[in-house]
Amino acid sequence: MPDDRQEQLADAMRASQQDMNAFAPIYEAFVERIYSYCLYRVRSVADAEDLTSQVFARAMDKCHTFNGDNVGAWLFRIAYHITVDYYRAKRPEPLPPSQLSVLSAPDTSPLERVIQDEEHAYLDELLNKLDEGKRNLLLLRITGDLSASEVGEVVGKSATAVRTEIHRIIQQLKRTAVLYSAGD
Amino acid sequence: MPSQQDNYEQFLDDLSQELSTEVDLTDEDVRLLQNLSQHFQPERLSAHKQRQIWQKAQHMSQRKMKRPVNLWQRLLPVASIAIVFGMLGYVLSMLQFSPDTQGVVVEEMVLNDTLFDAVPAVSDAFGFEFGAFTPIDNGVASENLMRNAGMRWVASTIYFDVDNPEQVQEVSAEIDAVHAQGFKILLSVYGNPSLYSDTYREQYAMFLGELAGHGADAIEIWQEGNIDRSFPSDYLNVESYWLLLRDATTFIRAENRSTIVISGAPAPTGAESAFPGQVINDDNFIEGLYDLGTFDMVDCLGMQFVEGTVPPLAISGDARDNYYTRYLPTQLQRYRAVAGADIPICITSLGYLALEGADNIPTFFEWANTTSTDEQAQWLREALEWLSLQADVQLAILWHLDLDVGGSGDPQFGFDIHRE
Repeated sequence: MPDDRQEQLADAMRASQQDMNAFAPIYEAFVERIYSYCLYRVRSVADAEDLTSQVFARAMDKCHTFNGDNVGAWLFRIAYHITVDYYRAKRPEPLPPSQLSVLSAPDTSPLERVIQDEEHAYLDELLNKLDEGKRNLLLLRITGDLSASEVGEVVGKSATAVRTEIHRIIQQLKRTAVLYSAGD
Repeated sequence: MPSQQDNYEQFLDDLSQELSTEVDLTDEDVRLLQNLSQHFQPERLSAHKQRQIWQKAQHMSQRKMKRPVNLWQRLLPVASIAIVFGMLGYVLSMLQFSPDTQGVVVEEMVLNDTLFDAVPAVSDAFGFEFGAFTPIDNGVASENLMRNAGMRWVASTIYFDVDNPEQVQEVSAEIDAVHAQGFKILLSVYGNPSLYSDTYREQYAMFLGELAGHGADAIEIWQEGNIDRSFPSDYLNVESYWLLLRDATTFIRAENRSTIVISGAPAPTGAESAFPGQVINDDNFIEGLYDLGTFDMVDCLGMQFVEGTVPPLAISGDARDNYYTRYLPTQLQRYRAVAGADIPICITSLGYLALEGADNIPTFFEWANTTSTDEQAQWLREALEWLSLQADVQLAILWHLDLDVGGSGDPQFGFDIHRE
């Protein structure tokens, strides 16, 4: 996200401590990414919508505690803790590939859709071999569009540690793919 | 059918450099990350779904907005006063007096700060609001009357003039004037059917985009696209109107994502079989738009209700017949049935025709001869009260407050609720 946009959102967050009108652009800027993060973590559309509402409700309630300059990292930290709480209460079931529209453009043919669903399922299978902490890093980095430094802010690690961890995750995924391939 | 491994290899062929600068990665690593980025890319949320999530967040938040929970409970008394006051003005005018507003104490309705002011498309999830069509000339003359009635919206009909390069500036001045008075503005924008073409459609859409860019809070796209009285007969079909909505929505969104996009309210009619090619029944029209995915695209389904002759909650008793468009509840129910449950409804024209004081009324409007001005005031109040309790109705715009169209010789005069 460009620096000037970051500053605008940080200003909006500070302003919303006094005037809730200022919170609107923050919601607009992040709702889809927060929702997607929740969806991929909990794998339930209804629960993801509910958790997204929780994230923004808590953000509004706690906006007086915002004292940094990175609204995205601050919001995702809330989202991370809320989904952790959710995990404690309920272990999510895998989301059927058909519920993920990510690779399915509206003009996708039925055959392409089937292939894409298979691709989803396969990648999902690989990703399911990762523990939740590693999946979370990938989600924050990719779905959340956070930099390694911002991911580090969310999970309490240094940027270098995050980069290293992501690198390890990639290697692990590759090994898993090779093992799968050998088993075919 | 490719194997899973083939698919994986295909994934690996989809390269991107986006993430490669983060660590020292091999090409294969980059390919995997690219695949992951596709797999995890953010989901799109419709505007309506965003509103639902926002509304729920509001309910969950401990830091409540100052807006009253049941707004209507506070609006009702002042709305009643305003409407009655309007009728009082009418009665006094009949007695050749002018209403003296100086001595009248009307409860001041203070509408508290909400996100409405900042992002209407998000914040309309707060619930129901209403307003009225009224002349805008360096602002709204009926400013106090409207504010005291609890109205937040001013509506204006615009006729796009492709030959007038100053029109955007002219309408922008209206927008600014209305905003300066603390109201939001709905622009209901017609085009010229005789000029319609694919090029004209794009010009119209660009015009709407410019109005959005100048701060229009809501735009209703070309009302009555289902009858050739308003929409070009050569293009009188759902697909053509959908193209118009698509282009207009695209330009509006590009300029201002906060502007509420309302599909033009169709003319309520059941005359399709009697006038083939000239009329599409409004429910068929909406159903066709639904089938094309329109209501994932726009923010609100436009509806007009201006032909009632019985109290707003009645579902029988109209002397003409019991067609669903005769009654507010049945028309609303029909629209819900054909448009799906996910699209909010914006009633962009709500009025009861009362022809007391009018003369030389065309026979076509004789159906309204039985409605008195007292009934008009009472029914509007009851209709607003009932609509405010409908979860999916976001907005109602009265047609109209004081347009004084054509004087008492024009049947449109009978829709005015504040008559001088």
